[in-house]
Amino acid sequence: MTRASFLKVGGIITAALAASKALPGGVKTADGLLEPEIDRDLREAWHPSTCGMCPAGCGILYRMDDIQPVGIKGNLKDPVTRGALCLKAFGLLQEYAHPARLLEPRERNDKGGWTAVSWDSAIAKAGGWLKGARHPAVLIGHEASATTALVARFAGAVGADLYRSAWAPADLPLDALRQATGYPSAEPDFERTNFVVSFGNDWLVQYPHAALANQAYGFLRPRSGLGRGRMITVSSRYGLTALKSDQWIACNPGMEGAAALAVAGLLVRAGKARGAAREWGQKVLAGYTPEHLSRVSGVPMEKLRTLADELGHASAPLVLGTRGRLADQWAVTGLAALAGGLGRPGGIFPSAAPGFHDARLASAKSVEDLFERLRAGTSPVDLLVIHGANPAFASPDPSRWPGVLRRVPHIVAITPFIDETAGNAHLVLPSALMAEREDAVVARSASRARVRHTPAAIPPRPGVRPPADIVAEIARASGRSDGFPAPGDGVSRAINSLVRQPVPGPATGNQPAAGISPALASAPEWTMPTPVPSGEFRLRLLFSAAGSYGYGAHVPYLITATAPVIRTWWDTVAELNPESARKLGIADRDRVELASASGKITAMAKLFEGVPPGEVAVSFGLGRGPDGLLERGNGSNPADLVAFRREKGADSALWDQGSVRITRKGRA
Amino acid sequence: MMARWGMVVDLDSCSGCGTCVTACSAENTPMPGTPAEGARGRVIRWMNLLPQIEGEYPDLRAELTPMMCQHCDRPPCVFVCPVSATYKNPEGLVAQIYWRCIGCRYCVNACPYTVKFFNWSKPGFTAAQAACANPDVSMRQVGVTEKCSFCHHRLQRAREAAAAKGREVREGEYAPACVEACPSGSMVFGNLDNPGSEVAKLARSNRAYKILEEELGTHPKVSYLKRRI
Repeated sequence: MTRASFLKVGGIITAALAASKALPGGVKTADGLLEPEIDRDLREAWHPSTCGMCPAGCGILYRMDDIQPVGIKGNLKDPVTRGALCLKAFGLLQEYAHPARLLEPRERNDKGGWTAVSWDSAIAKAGGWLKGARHPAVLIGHEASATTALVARFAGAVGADLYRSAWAPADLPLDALRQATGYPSAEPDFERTNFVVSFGNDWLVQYPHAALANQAYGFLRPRSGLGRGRMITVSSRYGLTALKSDQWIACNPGMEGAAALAVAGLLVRAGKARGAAREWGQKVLAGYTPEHLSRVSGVPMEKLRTLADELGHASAPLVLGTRGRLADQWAVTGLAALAGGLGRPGGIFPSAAPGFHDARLASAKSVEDLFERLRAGTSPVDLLVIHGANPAFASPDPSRWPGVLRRVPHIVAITPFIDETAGNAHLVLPSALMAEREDAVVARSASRARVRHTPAAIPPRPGVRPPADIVAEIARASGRSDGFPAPGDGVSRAINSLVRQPVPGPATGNQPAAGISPALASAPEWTMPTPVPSGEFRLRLLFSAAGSYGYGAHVPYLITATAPVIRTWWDTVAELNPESARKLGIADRDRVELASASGKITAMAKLFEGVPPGEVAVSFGLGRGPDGLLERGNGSNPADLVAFRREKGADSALWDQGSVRITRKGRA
Repeated sequence: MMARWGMVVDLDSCSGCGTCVTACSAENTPMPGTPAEGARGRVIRWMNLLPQIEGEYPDLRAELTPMMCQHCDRPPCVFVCPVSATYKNPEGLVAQIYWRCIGCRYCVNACPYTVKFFNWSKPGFTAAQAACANPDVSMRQVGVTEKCSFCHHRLQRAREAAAAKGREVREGEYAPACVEACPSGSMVFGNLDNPGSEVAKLARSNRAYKILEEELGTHPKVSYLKRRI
């Protein structure tokens, strides 16, 4: 090391230490641009990057053979994920080299097809549309990256309204938690909990940060057996989390919230309710007795009492629910508060929104607000720029989207693949994947938040460009850039500036737990779910790794690693209880039609003892629409069966609802 | 002394997440697979999660067992191979020589663990996909059998790295991709003949068992630790 580099490194370390001391607990900024790791013994280089398959942002290393990526592993030096990856990360090379990658800009032609155009022509066209647009809008996805923050900044610079899509099926009860704590997001403290109770959340499969969840499962199961954590799952379906739990408590379909409420009532009745949430608990008891809730949920009182007793004695309980009906979200959130599992080690920590702190991102409206605006037509959008969002596939009743998108005269989609939403665009611009560009993400757990800043780890496929550069070029071409950074070096400087800003960490201490008291007192009264009409089945959608965020089923190694019990990969599977199937004359692997008020699909019947009578569980991920280019012709999209409904006070549409009629259509 | 490589899978801490399955595929690049091949059960994955379900709703008991070649000390597949394409090497790894395989599928039928796979079709990689394949692993062609090698190529690389330092490979310097990737740390790999190694200790634990060992006497080098519940 030279004297100059020694002084430079020393200065950076000193500055970093000073900065980290100046920030509140849990707050960390980037350690600097991560450098490749060279294994001199094996004469190979490992380039650091971030897995972009979901917003969790796990640290990965690409093994390079000269300039070609040929392998992937977790980055043991990563302070948040510590080398853990989930199954999605190992599909990255297939994603990178996928035959359906969009490798040139394309413009919609008069015949409704696509015509390849040059980048110069595409940018000029998009810039011209933006120049003339009076009501532009930008729709972004879930990615918690610097690129997303820059696209949001682009929206501000060009005067566009900003909308953001969410992925509610995998979330905790974030709507109730937000109203209860004032924080927009939350992180479960998997690392310090010793008792996980889940009400309907199949967290080993569908928790957004799957690597951390599965790593945490290992912590709960130490090899010595000493300090072994306890896991209980209350759900109607016997999913992977139920299978791996110490105890699975079966409940009636859709009644996980009722079971949570019953346990809350028992805690209050036993005088074990902790904190200031007792008032809410007493209100619960006034409305519904645990005995009544036991009857409607189908969970025997004895099991509810034992669960309440265990929760009452747990030192670090983690109570998980889903972002389903608001009433059920409040039931689980209230129980978590009563049991001391909110804002305390081992419980759920309210936290800042994913990604970089940005006023524009924080004030972004929901994708469903965009839908309402387009549907109403009172405030038209004349240019829509889309990056990383696909509501025309991954939202309830996705068929409602093409109609409203047709009302937008110009749509520009920045995307690595022509998905269903991009299929409705007028211009599609091929974007680089996370590893193909310089970017930064905020990686988070309940106890840590860290910015990871990585250069382009692997050579971009020919023809693709970083999304932030694309919007910078569009802004420049439109003449409406208004201080937005220039493409290339300007974008790089903007990313460097972003990563130096402090990132809020998770809330610590007991402030949120104390603060939820008034909110809980005004929580809406719990109501029974809508009953399922006679002859119909309650619909449950299954979100495996290949279906979460509506992204992954196009990666063969990924889709063939899901559904180990069912082992049917390129078809949509409808799981039925064997007894229910027998009554309908349905045999294993028959083709069945599922019909709801919103739509109908066909699927392959799979008889599975883990599904209760009266429920049908359908895998999500396939059934790509006619407007996209991915996996067309394989399976069906069960989101077509879910009616679009958004409860008052909820940010996202409700996935967890509805019933279907099932008819046999013959043998597969 | 030569090592005898083996693995222990703790089913208590295995979350059934499937990361081992995709990590194995990314490392060893089996065919991507197509819906048509999937429908005929011809998609090749060296590592799978084997489901076992008992009982009726709501009294169910199930297990998911990561299942790969068990690298038997008495491997039935080796005994039936007419051309010695599959053999047990000096370190106990059951290896497969693809260019020697005549595609008779005797070994596929003989394997009681159903972890040997026949290539019924060409691998089906595009040029871009093939370029991302692991350069240490041979691509298999139509008409040959393939299976888990305990990532033997990693042993070769570890051996080269150790040789550069003038010594033998040490415990912990070589592990298959599935072991390295397991997020819950439920897979342990090492030298079974080293009584002090973690893998040897765990293989002797009172929770350890070997699949079909009692019935067939195959002496697998993969042990499983029973769940605690």
